[in-house]
Amino acid sequence: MNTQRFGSKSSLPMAEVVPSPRSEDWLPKRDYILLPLIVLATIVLLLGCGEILARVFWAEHLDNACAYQTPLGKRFRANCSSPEKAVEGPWTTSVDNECGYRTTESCVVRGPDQLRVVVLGSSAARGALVAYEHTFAARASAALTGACRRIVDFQNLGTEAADLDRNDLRISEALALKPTAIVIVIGPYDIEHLKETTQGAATAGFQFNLHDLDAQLRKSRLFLVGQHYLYRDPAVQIAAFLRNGDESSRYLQNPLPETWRKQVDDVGALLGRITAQTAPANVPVLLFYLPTRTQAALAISKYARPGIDTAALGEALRATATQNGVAFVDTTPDFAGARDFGSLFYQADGHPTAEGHAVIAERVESTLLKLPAFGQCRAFVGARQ
Amino acid sequence: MTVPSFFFLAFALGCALAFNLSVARWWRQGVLLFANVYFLQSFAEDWRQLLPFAGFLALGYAGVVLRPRGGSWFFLLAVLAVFVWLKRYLFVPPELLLPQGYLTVGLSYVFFRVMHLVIDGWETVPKGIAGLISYVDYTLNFTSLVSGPIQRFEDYRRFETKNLPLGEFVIGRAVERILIGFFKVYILSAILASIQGAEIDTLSASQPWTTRLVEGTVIAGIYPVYLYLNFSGYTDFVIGTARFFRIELPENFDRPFSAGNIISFWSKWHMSLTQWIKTYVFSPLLLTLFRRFPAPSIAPFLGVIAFFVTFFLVGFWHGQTSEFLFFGILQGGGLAANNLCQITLARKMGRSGYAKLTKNAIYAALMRGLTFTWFTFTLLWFWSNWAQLHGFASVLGAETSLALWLVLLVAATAILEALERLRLLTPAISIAGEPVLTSRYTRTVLSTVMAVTILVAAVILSAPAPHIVYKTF
Repeated sequence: MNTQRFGSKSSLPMAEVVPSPRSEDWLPKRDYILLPLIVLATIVLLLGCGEILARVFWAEHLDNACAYQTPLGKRFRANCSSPEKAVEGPWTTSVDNECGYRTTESCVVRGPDQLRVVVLGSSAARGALVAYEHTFAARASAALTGACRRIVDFQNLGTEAADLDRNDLRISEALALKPTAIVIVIGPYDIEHLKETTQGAATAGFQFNLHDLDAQLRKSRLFLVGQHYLYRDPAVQIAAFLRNGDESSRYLQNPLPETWRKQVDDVGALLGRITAQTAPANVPVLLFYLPTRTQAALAISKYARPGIDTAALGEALRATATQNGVAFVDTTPDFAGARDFGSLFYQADGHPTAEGHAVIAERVESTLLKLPAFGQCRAFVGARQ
Repeated sequence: MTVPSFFFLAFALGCALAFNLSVARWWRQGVLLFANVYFLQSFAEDWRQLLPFAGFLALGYAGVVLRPRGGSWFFLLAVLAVFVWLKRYLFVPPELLLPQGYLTVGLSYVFFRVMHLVIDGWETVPKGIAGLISYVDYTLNFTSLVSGPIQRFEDYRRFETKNLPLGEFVIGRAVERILIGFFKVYILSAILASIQGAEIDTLSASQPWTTRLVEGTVIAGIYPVYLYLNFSGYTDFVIGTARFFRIELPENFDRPFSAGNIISFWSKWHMSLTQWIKTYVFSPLLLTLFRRFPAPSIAPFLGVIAFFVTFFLVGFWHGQTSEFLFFGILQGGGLAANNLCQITLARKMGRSGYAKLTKNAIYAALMRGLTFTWFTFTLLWFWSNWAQLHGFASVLGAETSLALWLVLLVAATAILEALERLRLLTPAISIAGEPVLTSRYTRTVLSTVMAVTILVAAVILSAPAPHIVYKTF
């Protein structure tokens, strides 16, 4: 055995003993197959158990029992209530009034002195997955009633994204409610799915492919729970969003890509069809833009990324809304500037939470107060201050 | 860099990959040197914070190199004095302490290695620049810098002189060890810490007596288990990591809660420290006492003194405050009393009678419970301070406090006995003569479960890596 000391020049600077592999150092051949299979089976079993546990402890109930399909889109049964729950949220009860609107106030009774706002839009506008009293409509209604010293009710006609393009067909129904103003709430998801219809989606046949499998895995409860925890840090959600890089994520580019320009034009066309009906009745229409959680996070300076413009889509919408005589409000800065950003959205689901609705409510309230019909309320608010 | 953490693991595996690219000694020493220095500097915010540490290492190296020329006592005392000064022990006058902040992470463990080399390892350290690199690699070994284990230089040298095998079994066991360590620290100790924290928060004088008793028992009784999982988990992790560098670190734990007395407990708990202290404090002290007091009648009692002094130092080494001073007195006192009991019982019952008693199942179970309870009691001064202890005492009251230790003794006796029986049963579960629970297939399943749990917990908790208690010592 070589007993060299370090610094000796006469011998090779190699370790002394390089033992040849002994049989006990190596696994039997069957283990090259067995062990990976055991690992795989254990993971599958764990994931299966995890999915079961996730379904037990993280219940989800998205199907509203009061909803039904009409040729004009989804509607809700009158005087009906249904439980709702996002994976990440509490159990809530969605109650619809005698007209099938998510409002506790009657749609039929309207006092002579009363102000009324009609809400149009998708599930976010409807306040899905949030208790009624926490929805922006209920909050703004309560705040404005207080400010105006008379009833200001919000008749919420919100349904889902796929029906948005047919909202112009609901304007006569909305005008029949004699509204003081019409509020439309819209987000990138709604804009992207503007030309889809619930009927069209229902008739699409099921074809299995890898993309479907991926989509199914992404719908797994365990995946949602994992996503919920992962996305607690907005930086992780931003990274995932930017890595995704498909067409749906390109609304933060300036200039907007062609697909998104086209979709903004579609929104413009819808607004044109709406104002054509509301202008003769002299009912103002206000369009509120609701950002995604990622977009709002990117608008916070510490999460900002080069090449990302969080205002690009909002500005394009503002231009098209103004062109069609609709007042436009981008709530992205409100969300970005909110104190507890982490609590504003359900991280995995994407809908605004009760806290998120409070942010929207504040902006809706302050915007409505600027309308001439709310002039008297401004005077009361001014006197109070 | 935190140990254990995913980042540390990635860093260590990257270095291990580079390390194993060549069997050339200079290459491996170089890679290890890079890893050691990089790891150490990762704790410092400024290079100036490293200077006292570097000075301490230089002093130690001077002691190793100049030892053959005499002055070993000078270097011994100098290394000890500088260590005490840098660690800011409470008896060091404040005006003598360095005013600026500096790095002390792992200093205690470096001290043990340096002392070992200065006392009797100096002959084995190679001469010249290679010897210096060897010295730095040994003292700063990044896998065991933070909290040990304390390896002897001759054992470390095996890695430099012999190419220890790194076959599939070795890799498999190393990976398993890393996972076990991670699981103990990340999952089990984190759960226990949160339970203890929650119980401390809820404990109040307004609670019913039984609630206070249960909560007090949980608060006290959970800590030794937490500490064991935290420290042994860290040790498992670093032993597994070091194996990728073909280094075999010594074991630090050997089922300590199965010990039937506190002397035996310390031979199973933080074993590398006990071994070091036995070699460099206990044995020389006992030898000196034997020489000074040669009368055979008092010879057995000299061990009592040696136990007290040695384990008082072990206890006091843990920290610089008066709580740790008291912890040292309790440790030393416990071992001394234990030794005195052994001597007395052996004299009264005769050696065979005493040996028979220790083999009695009920006595063994009770002693196991008593050892655990005593260690738990001493740990009060380890994890809390005088003010907190006063707070607990006032909330619990004298009656509850007394009842608490009785309940803990009974519970520990029963639980540890059950665990011991379960352990003995484990090899008996077999298929075709092969033990099932310890087979590599079962262990693969368990390792996979641990890996998945760690990953899920890391995602869910998204918390920084847990605090290793011994990192502060």
